[in-house]
Amino acid sequence: MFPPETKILIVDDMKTMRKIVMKALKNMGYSNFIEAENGNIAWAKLNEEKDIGLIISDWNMPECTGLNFLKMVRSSSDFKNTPFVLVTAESEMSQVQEAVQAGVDNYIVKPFSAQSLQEKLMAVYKKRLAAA
Amino acid sequence: MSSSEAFNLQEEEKFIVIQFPSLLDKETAEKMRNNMQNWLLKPVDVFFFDFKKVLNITQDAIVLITQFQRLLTKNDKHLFSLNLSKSLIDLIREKGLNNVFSPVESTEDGLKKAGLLKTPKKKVKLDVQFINPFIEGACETLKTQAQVSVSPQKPFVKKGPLVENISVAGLISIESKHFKGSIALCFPKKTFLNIYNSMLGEEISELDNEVKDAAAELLNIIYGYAKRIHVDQNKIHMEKAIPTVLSGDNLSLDFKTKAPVLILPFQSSAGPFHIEIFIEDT
Repeated sequence: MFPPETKILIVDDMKTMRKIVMKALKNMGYSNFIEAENGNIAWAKLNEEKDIGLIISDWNMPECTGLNFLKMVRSSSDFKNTPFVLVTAESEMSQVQEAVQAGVDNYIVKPFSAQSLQEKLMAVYKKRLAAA
Repeated sequence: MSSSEAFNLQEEEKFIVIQFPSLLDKETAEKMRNNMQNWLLKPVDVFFFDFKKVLNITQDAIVLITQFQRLLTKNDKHLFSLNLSKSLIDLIREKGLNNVFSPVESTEDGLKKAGLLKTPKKKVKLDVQFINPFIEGACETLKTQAQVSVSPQKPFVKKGPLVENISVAGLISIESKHFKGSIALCFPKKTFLNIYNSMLGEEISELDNEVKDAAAELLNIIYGYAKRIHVDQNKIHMEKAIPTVLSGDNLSLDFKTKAPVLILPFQSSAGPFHIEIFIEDT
């Protein structure tokens, strides 16, 4: 699993959802969080912080969606390998395919439990480890 | 195959399909130029170029097709392309000619795009099939996200103000090709605070803006859940939506509609709450 000191960028326009994700992550032993309200702010934070080891981003956000943010991350030489998980309230097949093509590591559909978030992160970690 | 193959014309009442030979080179382009004027005189509004046999296309042919498409557009006619291979699609995209070739899956698809074939209006009713995904969504969302157990009660048509004292509501406008409407997730203060505290492990006793936003987020999740079922199982498409929040003492929602508004009441371990929903034809 990602080490407990991993700096995690949590992106969602709704503070409640950021808090839900952080609560679940805290229960998994993580405490190093950076928050952002949309993809543009997240992109700025990513560049400021430099050592973010995992991104968990909502899809449907004003100004810059999670998918656009993912595309920005994947086309950047600095962050293209940063693990990226999309959280979405919608999961139509066309959307999923678009996210996969854009290079998402995994996605989680709302509503989700802390356990399912942990399982998704574990799957991302294992996949990354196998590819290394 | 040689470029001397004739263009094969399939003439229908509303459209013509012109099948191209395997090689679209300078020589074929010349033949095409000679035929173009005759094609333009045909009493139809839609032309399909069928690329099924086409293995190669030269710049001369591309230029000519572009000219033909412009002539059609000037005369309020349409050109669509059928059976383009992946390499041709890539070539068209690379040259920025997607609007010239307008690839379509079928003649039916092209006729629809040209406005000559109307999609039959899908009648969607506020019935069990439509509301059940929202009820399931509410139960599943509160159970999974807030560890609150929910039991749906019997839905009824709203006749006037409800007795429940509603303090916070998430609201979404439902947009679809065939219908529009609204859905609201309405909570009494005590129920909502119980849900919020259970969801976040907090002990909040007052409704501030951040807390109220959770109503919008919960409705967003319920809407997404229902939307998924409607798209996958019922083939009903609904647009993405941005939820808003209403709050105040004794809130009463007054939808500006003549359509019946359905109340979906729920009992839960956090207290009672309900959904108000209506849809009407666009």
